[in-house]
Amino acid sequence: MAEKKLRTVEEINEKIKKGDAIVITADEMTKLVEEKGVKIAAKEVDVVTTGTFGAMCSSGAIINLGHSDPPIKIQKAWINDVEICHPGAAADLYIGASIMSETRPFEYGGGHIIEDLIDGKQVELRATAYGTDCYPRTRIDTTITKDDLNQFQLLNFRNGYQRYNCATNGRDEIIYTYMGKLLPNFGNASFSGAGCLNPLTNDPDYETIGIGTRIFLGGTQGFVIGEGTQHEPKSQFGTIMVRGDCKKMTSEFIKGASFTKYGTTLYVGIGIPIPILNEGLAKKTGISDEEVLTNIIDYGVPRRDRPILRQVSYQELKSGKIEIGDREVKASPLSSLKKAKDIAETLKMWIEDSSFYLTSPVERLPTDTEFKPMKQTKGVSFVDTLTRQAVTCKENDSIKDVAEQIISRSVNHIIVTDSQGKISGIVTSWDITRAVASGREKLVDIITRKVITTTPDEPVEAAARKLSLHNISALPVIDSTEKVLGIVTSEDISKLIGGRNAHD
Amino acid sequence: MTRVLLKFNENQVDQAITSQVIIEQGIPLNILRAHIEPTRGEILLEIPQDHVEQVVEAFQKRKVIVTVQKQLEIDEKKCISCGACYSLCPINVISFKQDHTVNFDEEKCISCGQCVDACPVRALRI
Repeated sequence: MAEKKLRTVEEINEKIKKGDAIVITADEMTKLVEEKGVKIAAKEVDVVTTGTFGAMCSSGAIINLGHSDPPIKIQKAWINDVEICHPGAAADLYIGASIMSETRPFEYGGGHIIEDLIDGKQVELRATAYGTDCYPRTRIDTTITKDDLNQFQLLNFRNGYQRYNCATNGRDEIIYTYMGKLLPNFGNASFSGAGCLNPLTNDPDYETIGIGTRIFLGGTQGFVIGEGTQHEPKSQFGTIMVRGDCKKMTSEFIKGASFTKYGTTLYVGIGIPIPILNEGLAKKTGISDEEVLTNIIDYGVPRRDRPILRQVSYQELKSGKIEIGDREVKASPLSSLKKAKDIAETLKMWIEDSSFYLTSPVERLPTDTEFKPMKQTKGVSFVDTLTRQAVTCKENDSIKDVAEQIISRSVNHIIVTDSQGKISGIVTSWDITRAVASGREKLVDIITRKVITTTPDEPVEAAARKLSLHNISALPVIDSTEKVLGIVTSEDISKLIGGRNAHD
Repeated sequence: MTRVLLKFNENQVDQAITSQVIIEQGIPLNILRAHIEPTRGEILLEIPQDHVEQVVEAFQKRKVIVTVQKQLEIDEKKCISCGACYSLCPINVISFKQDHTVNFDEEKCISCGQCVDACPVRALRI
C-alpha cells in the first residue's frame, strides 16, 4: 500500500524558491527522530542532506580534446605518463582514476590527473596512432589545461556504496590493500563510509534516488545516471553511477590518492538530498550509526570469499576502537567523516540559499539486482596439486650429509624438521655452497629459521605471489600443526601459471 | 624532552654504551625505540631538556653519531582528515577532534614511520 504523501518534490521546490524549506543534515535528523519521534520529524522537515567522501576506484573523467591539424585518430594516449583509455572516436578519452603512471607507479595516477586539471594545472598529453587517409597524423605531443578541453565530465561507474566491509588482517605480516595498510595478527582495522550520513543508507529502498537525481558531486551539482556496477541493494550494498562537470568542481572535494603497494584512486565527495515525502522516509533518514551494520572481514585471506569475523555497527567503528577476539584494536576510517559532514552542510546551505532544487527520479533504480561472481571456465588450482615429496634433514646432520642428499635426490631445497616432523628451518644448495666456501661445517649455523610456507589449500596464485614477494624459489607445504607435507617449487608453479597465460 | 637518534657502528653494538652514559651522567634517559643488527644499531632516546648538551657530548665522546631527531611533519594543506593513519600509530599521537578533524600530538611521536606510507594523500613525513 502506498504511503500517505506529506508533500511532493514540487511543493518542496516551491518552498526552496521562497527560502522557506526546512533542511537538516542526516545526523541532525537522527537526533530529531530520537527526541521528537518520527511523526513530528516528518511534519517538520522537508529535506535531509547526506554526504560521503571516500576512495572510489571506479571513477574517472571523459575528456574531449578537439581535433589537431592534421587530425589524429588517437590509438594510444598518455597524460603525465598515465595511460588513458580510448573508448570512442578520434579525440574522446577516458581518464581512469586507478590507472598508474608508468614512471611514478603507486604515487601518481588518473585520479591525480583529474585533481590537477580541476586545480587549473597544465598536464602533458602524448598520443600515437596508425594513421588513416582522413586522420594522417601518427603522433602528437602537447600540453593542456581544463580550459582547452571541450568536455571534462566526471563519469563514475560505481560510487557511494550504501555501506562497506570493515577490513582486518589475520596474517602474520603487514598487508597493503585497497582498504589501506593492515597490521599483522588483527593489529588494526579499517572501514569506509560515513554510517548514518551515507547517502544510500538514508534511502535504502531507492524511493527518491534514481536516474536523474540532482546531487552534490565534487563541489558542484551533478546527477545520478543509473545504478552503479555491482549494485546489490538486497544486501545493503547498493551503488550509484554519477556524472558531473569537472570544470565546475573543486579539488577540496575531488582528490587523487595513492594506496601504498595497491595503487591510485580518487576520493570523491557525494551528497544527496532526501525529500521527506512521507513518514517512512523520515524513519529511514532517522537511522543511527548504531543501526548501520557491516561485517569485519579478514583481508589476510587472498580469496574472493573472505572469512567474516563478526558483525559491527558504525557506532562502534566511529568510536575508533573495535573488539576482535578478546582484544581491542584501533579502526581507521578511510573516508573522511569530517568532509562527509562538510558536504551534508554545504548541500543544506545550497538548498537554503535557493541555489539547489530537488528532482524526482526519471526512473527508479532496480532493487533486486544481484552481484554475481565471475564465470571462470577453469577451476581454481590449489597448492596440493603441485606438492612434491620434500627431502628433509635433521638439525644435527652434517653439511656433507645434506650436500650428498642434494646431489642424489637432485633438489635445491632441504627442509629441516624436528623429531615430530615439524618444520624448523630450510637449507638451499646455495647455502651449502657458501658454507663450504667459507669453511663452515655445522648445519645449525647455516639454517634459515624464518621460513615462508604454504598450505595444501592455498590457491597457486597466492603461493606464486609469496615466491615473487620474497624472491625465493620454493615453499615448504605444511599442515596446521606445522608438520611438513611436501614442497612446491617456482618451476612447477610457473609451468602451471605460465601455461595458462599462454592462452591470454 | 628532546629526542635524539644514536647511531652505533659494528664495533659499538655489543657495548653497553647507553648504560655507561646513564651511570656516568646520572641522568635518566628514556629509550623510545631500539633497532640493533650485527653490524649497526639505532636507538631513539628522550633526554630531559636541561641535560641535552652534556648527554650528547657523553655519547659523542664514545664516537656515537648523534642527530637531533625530526618528528612527524604534517602538511595540513594536503591532509583530508580521512584517518587512514589513525589505527597504525602504536602510541596515541593521532586522534580525532569533535568535528572529526584528525589531530596530531607531534610531541609524543616516536618516529616509527608506520603512518607515513598509509597516508593516501602523502601528507605525512618523518
